[in-house]
Amino acid sequence: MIDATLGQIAQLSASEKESIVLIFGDKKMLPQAQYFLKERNITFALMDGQQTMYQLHYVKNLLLYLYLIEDKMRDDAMECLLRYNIVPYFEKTQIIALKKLANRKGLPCLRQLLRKGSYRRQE
Amino acid sequence: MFETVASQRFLQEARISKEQIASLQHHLDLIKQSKLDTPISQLEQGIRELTDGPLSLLQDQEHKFEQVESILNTFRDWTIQDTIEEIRRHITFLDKHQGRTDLVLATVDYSKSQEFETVFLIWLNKVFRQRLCVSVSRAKQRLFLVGEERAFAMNNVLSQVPGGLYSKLSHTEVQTDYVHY
Repeated sequence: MIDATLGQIAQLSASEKESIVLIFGDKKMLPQAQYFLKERNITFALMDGQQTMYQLHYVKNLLLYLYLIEDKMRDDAMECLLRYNIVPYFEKTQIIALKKLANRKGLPCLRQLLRKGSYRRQE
Repeated sequence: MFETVASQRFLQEARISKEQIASLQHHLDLIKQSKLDTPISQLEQGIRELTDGPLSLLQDQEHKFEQVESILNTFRDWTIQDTIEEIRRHITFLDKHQGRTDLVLATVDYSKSQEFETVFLIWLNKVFRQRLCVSVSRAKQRLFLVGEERAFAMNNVLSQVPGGLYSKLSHTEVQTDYVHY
């Protein structure tokens, strides 16, 4: 459907191509469309406030693992992991306490937690 | 230093429950065991085995789960490193072009209060009543409605559009109609 739309756009004159919006009735199509256009190196913008598929909070919750595998110093990713992916969810007060301790030790949260046995002692 | 971190006093201070620690252990093990050259499929398997985590917690939210699945499908054969780089490239690509108006993508909800010379409303089948009004009124000059043939047939107004105002296109998988006003 997007391919056909691009074909229609190609038939517009240069002036008619100056201001075009593709509005998707089904928001599930938006990520596919982004991928489709980018693969063809067609430049586009997202409407103000619209997030890329990788910025959706539930997608970000998945990507946290990748970011933490890449860089265990990333306290922002660690904080999100604790808050959104661990059940029971970590409360803000717990994270603040963890951060305070990490700062006192001069270590990022994950490194602190990954230290040998530090999270196994309570089992 | 480690002794302080691992001490009962620290854990009490942070008020971390046994359940949280037990769950955290599985997540951290997964992170520790994975390397940048680990395939996404392998990481995915580990994530699926988590009783909590981003996939388990989305089980009852079909739309969100499908989107995450779709991303996993895209990258399943990639390494973690390559996936991260591709995602960064995608975000950079969008950041670079944000603000341009010659081709903008939007959903119906985000298109409110904006106007464009040309509007393509894609997947008409999913747009009804007020949302249809919101969408079509974004167009200043040209409006294209794109959707499956049955979406036009089912609509009282669209089903009566003169033949000269639309074209019918056939695709391998989907029958698509255009209506051009």
